[in-house]
Amino acid sequence: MKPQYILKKDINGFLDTLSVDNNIYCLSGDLSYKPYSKKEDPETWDIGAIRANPPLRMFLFTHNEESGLSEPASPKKTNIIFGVKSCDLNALKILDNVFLKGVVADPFYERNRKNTLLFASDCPNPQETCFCSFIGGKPYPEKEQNQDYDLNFSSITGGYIVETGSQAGEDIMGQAFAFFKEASSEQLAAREAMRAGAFAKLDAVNSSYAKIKNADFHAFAKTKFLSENWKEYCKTCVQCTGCNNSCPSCYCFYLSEQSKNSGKIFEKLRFWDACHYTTHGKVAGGGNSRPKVFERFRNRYQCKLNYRKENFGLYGCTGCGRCISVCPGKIDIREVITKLSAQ
Amino acid sequence: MMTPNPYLPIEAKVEKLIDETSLIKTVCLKPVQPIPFSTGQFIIFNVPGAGESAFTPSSSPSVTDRMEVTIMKVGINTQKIHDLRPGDTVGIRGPYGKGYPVEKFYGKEVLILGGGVGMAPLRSLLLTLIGQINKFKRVVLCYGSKTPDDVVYKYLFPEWKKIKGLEIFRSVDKCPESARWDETVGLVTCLLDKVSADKNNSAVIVCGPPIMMKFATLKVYQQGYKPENIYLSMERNMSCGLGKCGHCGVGPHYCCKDGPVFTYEQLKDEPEIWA
Repeated sequence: MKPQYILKKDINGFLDTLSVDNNIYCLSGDLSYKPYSKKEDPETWDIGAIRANPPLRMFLFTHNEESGLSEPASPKKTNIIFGVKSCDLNALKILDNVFLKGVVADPFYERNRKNTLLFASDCPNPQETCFCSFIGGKPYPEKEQNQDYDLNFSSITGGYIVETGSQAGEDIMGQAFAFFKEASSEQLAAREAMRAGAFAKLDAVNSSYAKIKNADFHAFAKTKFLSENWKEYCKTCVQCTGCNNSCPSCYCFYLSEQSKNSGKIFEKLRFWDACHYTTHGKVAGGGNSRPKVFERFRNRYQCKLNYRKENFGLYGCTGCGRCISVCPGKIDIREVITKLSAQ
Repeated sequence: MMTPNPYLPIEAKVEKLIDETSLIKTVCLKPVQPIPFSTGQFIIFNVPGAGESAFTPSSSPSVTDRMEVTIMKVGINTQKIHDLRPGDTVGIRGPYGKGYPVEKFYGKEVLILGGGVGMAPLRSLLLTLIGQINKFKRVVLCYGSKTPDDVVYKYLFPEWKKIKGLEIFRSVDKCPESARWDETVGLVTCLLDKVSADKNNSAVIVCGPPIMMKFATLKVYQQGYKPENIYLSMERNMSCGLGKCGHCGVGPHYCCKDGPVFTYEQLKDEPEIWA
């Protein structure tokens, strides 16, 4: 399907046609905190903003999830997530590799993934913490980046250009054709200008990190593993695990036993875990592969830039900047990488 | 078609508990369905309502309707396991990971280095090797414990010592005056000096506490055994067992799916692999 155009005022009507069979969550809020909110309050929507504060994985791999059922129950409605950013779609590739491939697929993630429609949107106005284009990403999704989304909305004056990314997306557009008309060449040119503006903004906010733009982060992390400087970089880290919990590509979890249903002996829960916790690398008898703060801090960088790159050919970091904005110790991954590269 | 839930354990009845030492017990289990495994693979032992921990079975993989797991009491879950009584129900998930490639040891001198409760997985391996002992040039077990009281499977050694083709050397770190010990006193690595093996035609298997693993591995490597023939049973905090939960990283590898048995060749260039 060729790119389509929908007027801004029609978007609510379009989503209304989908809200009968689907739960719609939309990027909303203000710059200080942007959740995905239920569709009911369109006044707060802001799909042109940067990524939501909570990571997309909250819909796919939930904290405190029961995994003891013999078969995951099928949910009644599909979730539509509206306003998903390119950085989160890149992180989804890591999650898909972990949870859908390997030894066996994780049936809970698999169910949630099948049960989620992703309505992405361009990121025309990257903020201070954004650096997707410095680590191989783009501020908008496209099939050429092997990203998985159903529809993408690009904001231009008066409306959105909508492109399909999947058969499900095509079907939705086919049914709601009355809201759309084919985008004109002027409108497509306006989108290109908007996208060029987003790249320019990314270059501007990251001007102090120009040296590391699309550098070989894998080599920096791997060859500097034994550097003493990790101790310096993590000086203000208080191990709050905010970076872990807000990261779109973090996937560590812990399986735990439910004791309240003492009758049902195999009741099990799983929780999001974080490699900054001391317990993450703990083994029997008091051993720990990462007992010190700098070792756990370093592990996070190794995981994102070295190990997952070796496993999947992908960086675990997508430049979303959540770990920068959430860190009470003002640790900035861009600065750490810049210092690493200068060593 | 939905993937079946891989986190769901198979029920198993506790048949017997054997006291090995003051801190170590062997739990004998009868699962409701056979759990076939290869030696060196691990299982997740589930104590209902309490938690899960990873162990390598210590029984022979040729027995599939029963399973024995030798467990040291080191924390909350292992305490619960020690408190189990015959008739109690527990859960077993697995087997997971890659075990010992026994076929690769055929025709070779097999040198096994065990420390402490690390003898548990090695018993499973040893039983597997004993079952086909003629296929190996020789099998040498070097086993170190803290004190004579800490030796596990005390009752099995007299039988093992009678087996042709199997040589056994044992050491204790120290021997209190009250105890009797007429074998070596010293760290397990000192037993290596007693063994002269053809380093070009040997497989070395190392399993024990992290500190022992480290020094034993470095010593055999320095002695000239080939890194691709040194097999390590790595210990990490395995939670899911399926390479998803992220806990058991050894560099870019996951211990649960890429191990727990690794060759030293796979790991030697990864910094800080010892827990």
